[in-house]
Amino acid sequence: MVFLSIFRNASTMYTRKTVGRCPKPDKYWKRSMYFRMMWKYYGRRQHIYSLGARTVHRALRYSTHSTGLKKKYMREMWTMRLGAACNQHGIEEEEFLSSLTEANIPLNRKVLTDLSIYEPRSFQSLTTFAKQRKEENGLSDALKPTFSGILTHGDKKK
Amino acid sequence: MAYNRVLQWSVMTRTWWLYDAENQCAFRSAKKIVNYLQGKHKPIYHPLSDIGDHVVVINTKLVAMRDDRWRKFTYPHHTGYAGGFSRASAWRLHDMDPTKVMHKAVYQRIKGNLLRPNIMRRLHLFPDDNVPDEIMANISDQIQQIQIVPKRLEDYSQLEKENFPQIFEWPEKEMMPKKKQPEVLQTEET
Amino acid sequence: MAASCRLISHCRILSRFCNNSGISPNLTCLQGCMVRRGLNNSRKYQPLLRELYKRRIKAGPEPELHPSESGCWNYNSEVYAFGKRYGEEFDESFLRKAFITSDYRQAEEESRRQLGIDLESVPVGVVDNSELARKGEQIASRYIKAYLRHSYPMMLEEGIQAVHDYLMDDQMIYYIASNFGLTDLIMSPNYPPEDHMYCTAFKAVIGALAESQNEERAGLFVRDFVVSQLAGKNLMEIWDVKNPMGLLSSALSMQGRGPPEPRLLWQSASATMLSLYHVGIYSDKQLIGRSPGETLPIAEEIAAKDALSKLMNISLTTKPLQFGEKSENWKYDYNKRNQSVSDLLQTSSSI
Repeated sequence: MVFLSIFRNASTMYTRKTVGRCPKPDKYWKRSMYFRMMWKYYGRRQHIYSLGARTVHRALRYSTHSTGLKKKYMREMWTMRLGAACNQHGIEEEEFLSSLTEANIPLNRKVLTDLSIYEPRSFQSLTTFAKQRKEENGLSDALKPTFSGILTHGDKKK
Repeated sequence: MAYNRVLQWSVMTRTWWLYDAENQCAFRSAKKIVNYLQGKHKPIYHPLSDIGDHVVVINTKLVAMRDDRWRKFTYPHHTGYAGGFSRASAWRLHDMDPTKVMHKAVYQRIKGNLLRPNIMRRLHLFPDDNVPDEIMANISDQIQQIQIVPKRLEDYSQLEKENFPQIFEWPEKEMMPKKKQPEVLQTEET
Repeated sequence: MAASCRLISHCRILSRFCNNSGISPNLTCLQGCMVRRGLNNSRKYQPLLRELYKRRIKAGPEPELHPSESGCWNYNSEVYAFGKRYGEEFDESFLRKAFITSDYRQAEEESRRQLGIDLESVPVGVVDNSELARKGEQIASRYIKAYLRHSYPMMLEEGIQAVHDYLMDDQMIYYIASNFGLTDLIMSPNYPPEDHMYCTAFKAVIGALAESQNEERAGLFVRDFVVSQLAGKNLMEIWDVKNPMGLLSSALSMQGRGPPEPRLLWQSASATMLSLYHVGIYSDKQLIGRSPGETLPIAEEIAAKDALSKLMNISLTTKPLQFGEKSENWKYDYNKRNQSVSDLLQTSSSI
């Protein structure tokens, strides 16, 4: 074999196996990465690598798991907020969403919630639209409960 | 509206609500009241933000329970010592403290965390409609009752009873015999 | 193990320190490095970095340098690019003048004096930007008032003045100028330039534009970069109205409407610290303004301000300010004045 230039292939020539006496790589960088995540722990876990690393591994596992949970929780919160916002205007959340969908108004829970907080008038107009649409469909009268008594300011629902 | 400062103030202040518990199911009422105490009736709700309202519940003495739950429903208690377990039926607890049934119904509805005591502090229970003026002055609105309060027979006037449409007349043998007036009393008076 | 731990924690303390001090990152790779694996990860590398880091700390932070210090700098092309960046045709001599501060001129004179050069026989030949700045300030001030009077014809003159002062305030001008790409262009004895130099240079740029083209064009420049700061702002918060209720009653009486009548719409928690009152103001049985407040007087005052802003057509719900093409061909009457509070009080008292 004749090599005209120096043959450089690190994977075959300069691995630890071939070089033999090459010193072990520095662990400092890997450790410092863990220490950066361990500052918040209490006691020996904060300063001792072997103890803290276990906790870091578990924490990373939890954080990966909770990326899915977060989506679930956010949806729950939007549902709750939207339900509250709809109740203020005297309409059920399901009816509201379904009438918006039927009328081809593609707004999801998140956007509607933001509207109800930051643009209450825009949200009110949407609920007015949904209520009017429900009445025009004519089904609401049949389902409407009969209520007798004194109606006050708070008695908006039903 | 001018001035974001006052707008924010009006969003974050606590509103006071009134709830009349007369002839209302304690447990289903609690479900509704808890939403107001925690602020779940507001579109800005978040479990970590303290935006709950105050609720003043009156007439807790007159709360209702379904079927024979006054007898069957029991509230357990344990002192912590050996043999310290006891349970009281709902009617007995209600007899001891007329606000206790409502209090426990609301308390058990709230998730058991460190927020619960503070949430419970916003609930004001009164056995009847005698509410102190300083609390009554705060109230600005009313929560709608969950049930229609039924009208009792004694609330109807004699005229209404007579005019009530009668479809048929009961035969004589199906009717309860009328109670005889005690004659002894009459003789004593005379 | 213990020794290495101490070493590492020591290093972490250093790296924290490095985060706080504003040291340039070229020598402090300790914190920014990824995990190094394989043969590149020499055990000698980390002590080297640590030593460099120590030396960096000892040497202290580098002074902030003008880009010309790094060698790649062409002032002529930068001045040319400045005008083009904002889509304006500047006369270059005026624009250059706009960047020369008076401190710079004085420093030049001082250096010549130290060299023993007679300033009277051999003048410096440097004119600073104070004259241009004065002109620019006049143009900006005149244009802002005219623009506001045109946009808000119903607004009182005091309000116009208050909003004008808000825009022409040194703080606001400095905020605009500091984000305007002036830092490297301003000729000052020290770098970076001081705050007041930014303000003067920005005003001088307006003056230079008026000299290069015309005052109308400079006005549009002011509209685009200064007046646009008002977008989304509540004018009643900028203008602190004294006694809004009195002003409202005289304004209403001048329009021939009934006197303002504050009424409590609803209240909550009035016996507690978190009390809330909603006050509405009625005139001739019509709701003209409303506001919440923690006490009755506060709610009433702010409701009156709300009603005033609606009367003057400056509330947040009115049409937004017009910029760009929509206000390109507006004709301003620079001599026009809006009605002032004193006019209002006189006319209402005579009625």
